[in-house]
Amino acid sequence: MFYNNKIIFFSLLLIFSAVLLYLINQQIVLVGILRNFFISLIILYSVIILISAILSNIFLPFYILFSKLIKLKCNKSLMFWWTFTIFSYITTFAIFMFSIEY
Amino acid sequence: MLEDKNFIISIIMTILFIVTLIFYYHYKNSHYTIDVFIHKSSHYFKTENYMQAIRYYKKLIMMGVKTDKIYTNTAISFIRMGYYKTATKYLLDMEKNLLPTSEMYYLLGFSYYSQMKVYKLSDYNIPIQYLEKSLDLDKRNKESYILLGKIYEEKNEFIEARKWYKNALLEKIDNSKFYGLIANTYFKENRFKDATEYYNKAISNNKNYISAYYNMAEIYIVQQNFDKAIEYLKKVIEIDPQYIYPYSKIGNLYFAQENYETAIDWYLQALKIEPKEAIVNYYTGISYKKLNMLKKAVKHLKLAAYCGNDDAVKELRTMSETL
Repeated sequence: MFYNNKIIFFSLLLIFSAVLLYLINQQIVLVGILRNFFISLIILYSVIILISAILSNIFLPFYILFSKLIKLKCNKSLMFWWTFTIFSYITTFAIFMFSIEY
Repeated sequence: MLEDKNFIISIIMTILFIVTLIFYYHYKNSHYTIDVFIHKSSHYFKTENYMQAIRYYKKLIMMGVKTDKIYTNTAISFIRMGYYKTATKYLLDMEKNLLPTSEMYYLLGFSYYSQMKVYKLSDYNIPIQYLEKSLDLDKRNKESYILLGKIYEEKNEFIEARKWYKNALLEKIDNSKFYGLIANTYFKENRFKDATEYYNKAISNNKNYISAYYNMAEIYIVQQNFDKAIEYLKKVIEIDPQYIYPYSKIGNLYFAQENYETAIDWYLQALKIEPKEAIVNYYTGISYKKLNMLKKAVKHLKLAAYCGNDDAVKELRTMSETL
């Protein structure tokens, strides 16, 4: 996904996180500070962003190398953002798959 | 924004993503059968794996399977795990959706009572109200009588507690238990004659009622009638020879009378059952010390200290300073 408006993208990701949290809550009994909805939401949201950022950072060197090989103009920040949005959706889907599995 | 091609593509991809999630959710759920979930949840509930049981019960409720048993078992699972507020939420949901049952009201009373203990509140009216409703629906609900009586005892309203125990006796539910509970209330009020009368009634209904014999021994200890106390403690041992406390209690009685040799005999019998019992080891050590058998005294005091008895630590320190 290549949203140009980052606020829209992050707001949507927050909504997805809330839905995931509801599904996770149906599956397991959340304990301790995770019992608080808002704290759990922030934690889940941060986890998705962190995983996506890490995966994008892993992917980025390959993109730079590839660009050099085929002599393509390399826009690191744009490529990072694109891969970040894609990995965010993939991470969301992966968590979704686990949270509805019985 | 709408002229931006990237934005439009992003929105389309997001909608497709959401549609994929919905389809996947329905595909997964179409493979789940209610019978399998009922079987799994019952299995986990019976094996006391309450975390897993809750998972499946919650799913069943989400799938629209809202029966008495599922709601009460979900609530019981939450209660066993200590989540009293969540248990209450499910029980109130059950009250809204289904016909109330005696067990449901008992569990509500229990959940509110447990929340009170956890949050150190003092309004007993809510649990009392639910327990009374439970008994309105089923006059033979033993647990409701017991909990109601317990609540009134905590409020020091022993007359009211006895009233509920006597109501249980009228329904002839476990007479020995309720005679014992009535006797306990008299014991707490130091009315030993009445307590003795009811403990004897409890014993006549159940010759193996350990708690009644034990409490009778306690009454005789308070009245300084040690021989009678020992007699009742020996009856406890006859019923359950593996119960450590009567041995240590008899040992303590001989210790109080400075009969250290006999005390040690009884303490050693207790230690055969539970070798690391800290307090018994401590008194055994002190008894040996009184008999000037210092090596054995130190052995038992060290064991008591190792198991967390602070008095044993102090005693060892004192002994090492004087030796």
